[in-house]
Amino acid sequence: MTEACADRHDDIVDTLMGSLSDERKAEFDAHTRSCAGCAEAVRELSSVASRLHGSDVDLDAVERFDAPPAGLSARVTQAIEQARTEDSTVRQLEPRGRRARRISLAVLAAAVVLAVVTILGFRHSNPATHSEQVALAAKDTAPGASATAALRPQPYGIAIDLDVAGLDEGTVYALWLADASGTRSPAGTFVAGHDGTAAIDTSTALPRDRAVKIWITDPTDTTVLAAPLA
Amino acid sequence: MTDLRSTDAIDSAYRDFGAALFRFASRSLGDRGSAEEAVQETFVRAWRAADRYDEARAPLQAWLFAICRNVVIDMSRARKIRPALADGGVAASREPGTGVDAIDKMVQSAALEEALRQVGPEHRQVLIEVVILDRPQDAVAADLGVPVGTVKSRVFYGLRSLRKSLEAIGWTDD
Repeated sequence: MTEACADRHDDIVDTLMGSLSDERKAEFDAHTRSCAGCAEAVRELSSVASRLHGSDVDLDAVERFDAPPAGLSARVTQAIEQARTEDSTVRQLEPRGRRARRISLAVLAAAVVLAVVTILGFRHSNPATHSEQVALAAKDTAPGASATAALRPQPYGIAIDLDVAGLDEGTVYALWLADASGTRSPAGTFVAGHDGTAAIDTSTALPRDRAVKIWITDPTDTTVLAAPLA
Repeated sequence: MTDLRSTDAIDSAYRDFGAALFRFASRSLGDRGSAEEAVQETFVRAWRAADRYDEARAPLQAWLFAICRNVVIDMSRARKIRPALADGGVAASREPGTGVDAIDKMVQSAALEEALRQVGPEHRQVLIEVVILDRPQDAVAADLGVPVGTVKSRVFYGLRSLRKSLEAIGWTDD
């Protein structure tokens, strides 16, 4: 904060309160034109004063310094320990659900590849296994969120494996892609599950070579996570 | 270097800012039970996002308040209640309505209240009397038994201090 002149504090306060006489106002205005410190103080403090003046703060509540319950500190630590444990448990349990499905798909894909490769006599590599990993960056609207998307170009568009964390449990989110003209292509909706995580397999009709952006919106259509696509 | 992945860093952050976050959440959501939940969730999200926290970009308090504000907004929307400024868990009896503006206003007020609490008592008092209640400075000076110049000086330093408190919890101009 730039320093205002020590002998001008009264003028600054009266300016903010609108209680400066015309004569003093003219004199102080002339001063602020040549004094950056005082001009800056008027600007910075008037923004605070007007916010305060127009607010509906509860004056009783302002004077109450409620302490959190004594046990909250321990519960915070416990919640984080639980999240730590769940994170590792989810990873261990995953093979029964999603990972198992991925593995069986992978086995199937491998069998197909093997068959194709065998039929074609090793003349072709398999472009379908190419997967591009994209990390979506959290916006200020969801500072605790994270997401990665694996994109695989398909004849119908793009197949997308999305993993998200740190979203709001039970909230419906939408995944979008867009082309250079800004035209949105939906890639489905999902509900953030336990602890705000979700792992979904989805797709969009936009061809990979036209997609320039991928992002996730909340129910108010506010972007929570996004990434550019090269 | 603050690494919020460690239990020690979380404990220390809670000691420094837990009470302020709790009061902010409690005033935004209208009851202490929800506020406890919000504070827990704030620290869990902070812990999960620890690798993206950059001390050089934001003070820890501002970052935690930004997360807490999102938690409060999420909780307000999820419950389909409007956060109550009134006390005693009366939120549910208020007319339902989760307009983003209404929620935002409650959150802003709760933040301003917390910033005011962080201003010293003498300065807070004149800010309330002069700026919020719009009382004439000489009347306030007479009540307090101090010269009017002292009231002006307290308004000046009080506003400066309030601005610093607001910045520290991540609320800046506009």
